[in-house]
Amino acid sequence: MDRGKIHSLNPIHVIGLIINSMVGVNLLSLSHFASKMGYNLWMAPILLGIIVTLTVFPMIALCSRYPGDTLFGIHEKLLGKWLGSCLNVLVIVYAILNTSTANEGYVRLLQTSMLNNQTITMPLLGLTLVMMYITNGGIKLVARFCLLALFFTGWMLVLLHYGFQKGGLSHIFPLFNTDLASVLDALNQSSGSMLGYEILLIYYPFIIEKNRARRHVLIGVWTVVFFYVLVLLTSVAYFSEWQVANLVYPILNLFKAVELSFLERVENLGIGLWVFLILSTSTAYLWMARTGMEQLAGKRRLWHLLLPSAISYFMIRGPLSVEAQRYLYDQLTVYFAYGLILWPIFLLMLHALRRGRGEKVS
Amino acid sequence: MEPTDWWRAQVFKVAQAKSRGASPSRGERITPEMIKQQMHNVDDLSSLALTINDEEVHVFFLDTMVELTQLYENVFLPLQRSDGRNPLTVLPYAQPCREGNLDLLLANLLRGHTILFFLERELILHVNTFQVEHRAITKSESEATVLGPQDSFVEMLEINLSLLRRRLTTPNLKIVAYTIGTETQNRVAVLYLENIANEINVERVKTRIQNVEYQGFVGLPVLKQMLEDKPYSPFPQFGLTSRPDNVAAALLDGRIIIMLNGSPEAAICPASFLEMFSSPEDFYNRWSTASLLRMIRFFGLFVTILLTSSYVSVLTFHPEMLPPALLTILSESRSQVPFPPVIEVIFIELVIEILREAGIRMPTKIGQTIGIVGGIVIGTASVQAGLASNILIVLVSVSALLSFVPPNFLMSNAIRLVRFGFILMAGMMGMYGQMLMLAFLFAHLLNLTSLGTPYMAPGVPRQWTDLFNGLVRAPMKFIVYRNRMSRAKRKQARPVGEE
Amino acid sequence: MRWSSWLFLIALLSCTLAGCAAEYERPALEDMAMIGVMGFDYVDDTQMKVLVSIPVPAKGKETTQIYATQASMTSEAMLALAPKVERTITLSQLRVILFSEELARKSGIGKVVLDLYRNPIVGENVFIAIVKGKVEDVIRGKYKNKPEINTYLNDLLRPRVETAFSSFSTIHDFVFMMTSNIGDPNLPYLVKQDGSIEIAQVALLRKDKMIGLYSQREGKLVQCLLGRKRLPRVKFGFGGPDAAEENADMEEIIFDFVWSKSKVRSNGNTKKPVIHIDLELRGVVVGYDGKKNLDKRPQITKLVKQMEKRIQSETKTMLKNYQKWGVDPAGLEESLRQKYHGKWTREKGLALYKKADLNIKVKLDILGYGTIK
Repeated sequence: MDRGKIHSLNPIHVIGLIINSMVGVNLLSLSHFASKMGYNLWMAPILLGIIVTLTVFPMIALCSRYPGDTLFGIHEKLLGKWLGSCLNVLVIVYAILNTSTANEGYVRLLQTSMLNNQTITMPLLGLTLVMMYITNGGIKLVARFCLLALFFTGWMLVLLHYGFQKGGLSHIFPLFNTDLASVLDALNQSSGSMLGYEILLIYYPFIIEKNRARRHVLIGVWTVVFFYVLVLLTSVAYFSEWQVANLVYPILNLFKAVELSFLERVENLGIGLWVFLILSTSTAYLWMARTGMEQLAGKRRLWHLLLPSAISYFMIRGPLSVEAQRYLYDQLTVYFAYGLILWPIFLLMLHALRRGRGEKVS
Repeated sequence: MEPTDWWRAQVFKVAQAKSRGASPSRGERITPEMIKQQMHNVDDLSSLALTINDEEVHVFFLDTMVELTQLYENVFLPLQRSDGRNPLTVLPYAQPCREGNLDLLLANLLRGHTILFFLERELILHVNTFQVEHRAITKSESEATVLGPQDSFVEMLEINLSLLRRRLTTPNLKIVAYTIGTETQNRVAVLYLENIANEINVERVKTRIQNVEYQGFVGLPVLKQMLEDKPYSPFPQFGLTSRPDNVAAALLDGRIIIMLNGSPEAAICPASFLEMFSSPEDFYNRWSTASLLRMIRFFGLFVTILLTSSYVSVLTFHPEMLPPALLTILSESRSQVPFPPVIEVIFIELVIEILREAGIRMPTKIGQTIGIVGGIVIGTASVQAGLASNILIVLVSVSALLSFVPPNFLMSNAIRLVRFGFILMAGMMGMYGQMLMLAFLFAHLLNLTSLGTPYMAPGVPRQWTDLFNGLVRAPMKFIVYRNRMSRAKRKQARPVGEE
Repeated sequence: MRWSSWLFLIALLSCTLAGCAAEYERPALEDMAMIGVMGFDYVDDTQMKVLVSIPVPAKGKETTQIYATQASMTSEAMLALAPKVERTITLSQLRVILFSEELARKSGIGKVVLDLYRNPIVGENVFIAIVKGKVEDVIRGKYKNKPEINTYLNDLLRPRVETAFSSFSTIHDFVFMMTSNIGDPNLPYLVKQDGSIEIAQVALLRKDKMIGLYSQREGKLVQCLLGRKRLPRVKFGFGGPDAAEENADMEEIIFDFVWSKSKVRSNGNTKKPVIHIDLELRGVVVGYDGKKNLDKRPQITKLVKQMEKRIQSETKTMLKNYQKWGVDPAGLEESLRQKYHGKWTREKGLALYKKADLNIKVKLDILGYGTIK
């Protein structure tokens, strides 16, 4: 009977999906990204959380008007087949870009820390294959995997107390010692770490309790904000401002400090386990791309999954130079995301014009 | 409907199908010659022409299925003393054969009945004289416990069912029987408690069994593999047990049981991954002990798949993970080993697997010797010869021991297989390879279903009360609801608020 | 089988084959020369002499290989050392970095430390220390009845209560102190004498250059001010032959600090900064030589008063001296920074620190005095 209603996400699944599609490779460098704010950087996630909360409202509002349709379907219904398809291609490109962002960031980190003096071919191939396997199981498997990833990686928060041991929380004083320009810069830089909740636009039709979805989404978002603040507070306690600004992967250094009696240098284990967080992000985006392809083609085929994965693989491993990739992942993806997050507002207005306010389309 | 009647009808149908064309049309008189003709070249057929009380009687039975003293005492002796009375009155268990029903007669003959032709009276009787030697009910070898019932299933379905009937004295225990296997005519019984088990699940099991097409089943594990959701997965998706108490507990939880004649096991479905790590003894122990044991079993899973592979990845990729004291010991013991760690680990792991396999094949007494020879002599010798490091021997032994901890034999086999995947991945990509493999393994487990129910429940709980009987075994007071995985009709296992 | 499983299986198998081939090239544990101790000696302003010590595993007695080269950067030194060693040289088990006093004073240790800090192979918990004289003498030295040099140094520098008068600086701590702009880093100062190595004093650095030394006793107070909870034992002496106080009884106390807490607060005033220091100490008398009867409450109170006063005055004298010299090993600037809005720099911090008034309060509790009166 589970097979019958495989497209159904219960509240726990929704929360898990939200949390784990947001937490990904960006957390590793979060304190570095937000370092413009100095020791006040721990406030960045809270500000971002507020922005996210504000943008969730139009998203849910739009989706609840089309309870049976993904964003791709809404495009086609609202903008017509041709224009809708064009936009859908853009959204698919966005999804593939995000998949690559997660994978690329992680594989590069692997290359620098755990598997130095090795090429990324094998690690990336393995990652892509497992990612495809999970995505092939549908959004429910992705959601279940997200929950599992939470169990497997959540305990690592305990390791943060090693960071607290060394430094005091007194570093957070003086509060609000920053200016608007650096706040905006920090927000822009670290916004990547909050991306992931916009996949909601695609999996909304598969949620069981649609009328309470907003609440579950917000629970997920603020859990993530809580995690981020914890991590950032630890960085504040553990690092000097110079270190926060100059260390690319502060989490890596935090892990390195942990010393157990039978195991040292836990960063190898931690970064290894991070693959769960990466997979839960990239599979969600890959599933988004696949759903888009299906919508375009009007049927379900295997190559709808293979093609995005292959594109994502060759974007990282292929002929693109590292600078071009950095531009794609750090700049283009983020601006794309800003567009996508604000897009529902426009669609809502269009909907109000064409169909009247609040009307539902099934 | 009594199951035996049901089988009779089934067997009859099959016999009919087999002898189509040769059998006489309904209403024709059956003669002993017809039986002889049908059963030619069946040399265990005993055909006797006796004269009892001046009456000619033709007797047919299979001497492989019937014990002669019993036949004499229960059939011939009463007939001899009958003084010409109607044999039906002196043989209370005998049943008259209806006119012309040769197929049913043959089927009964094959099932161990004795057929008596009273030519003068024009009466044909068949008496159930089936009696064969069978194994006594013994302790379970593979699922032994210290406490609790010690009986286990044997190869006779009737005895196994009686073991269960003794435990569940309720008309709600339904035993639906099927005959499958085109050649073997295996009897399969599907058991469930009608007032508890989920109907859709029951229907699903029945449909799957009816759709099985195979020449014959020599054991339940074979049938189980054909009924499971994902036959290519290394993990068993139905529980398999040889303990009646296990089966009774599963039935009470709303599960469905499949049993096969000739197989001393029962399959439990749906089953979850976590249940493969629980033993009936968890409920015979106090809850605290049981919880500890369950956690050891479950964490043993992680240790056994990650321990030796971690040795490979640490030694090959991450020597910085070793604390100084451990580093000294390890580099000393590795200093003479000529192979890279992957080869070394695979070599020792294979030795352990071979020992295990050899130990099973050997007679018990030699098996022990092999264990000692393998464990001590090969282990010590290979360390002294410098083929393996002594730390590895410790790790491999620990992980081999832990791999036997899951009470489910198929699960422990699956884990041992998976371990090699981890070792290879560790040899390739170190700790990252291990974690990637772990992600793949758990994605695969999450993808599995057992009778359509997620296999990883209640790891991802379907209801919070499942956690009381999951990784821990909470005190009985807390276990009020049936496991959500069985989707029982009645969720409560016992009334609340009685205490 | 589902296509994905096939694909994964095929990929796995092919990977395995590829992995096997690469496996023979990848050095395993025993093929690696794991540097345990690195030492840096001064040659001239750009060049330094780099010494590495590598333990060689063997059954029974461990031996050590020591290699030396000249280089201007650590990575360059590694490059030069690699062909000299018969195994693959790696920094993954680096535990101790030693600098000679000359190097620390003349060219600074920041470049070397940051170069190592950049390297992801090097751990976070690598101890740094400064050596009196030449590092080479320490690393090549013979020590009787001691484990081999790598283990010896690592054990010596490992945090223990007994040596808690210096900051057990790991590479992370040092980079933190160097870049935090709120104080001057300190490092253990090792002296080799009589066939053993001793953490004799504490070296004080400004940024990455050594500027001075201070004693163990001062170090204990500094550590207390830095917020260490568990301090090493301290000896207090009162009276004595040349004391002309009203209480001429000679008393000697060895005091073990079980728990200590320091609160450093500033008033936030940039014109007239005041730093309030509250020390709360609890401990046990482990050794006592004097005339007081410790079983009597008033006597104990008197002792407590004496000791509080002594600690207070000692702290005050020490901090005043530091203020005069313009150094801040105790990180008192942190309290000023916490109240300072705007861009914080070391210069501002030092200026404020130098003119700050100190207000020190000490509260001492004697929890026990052993098993005799």
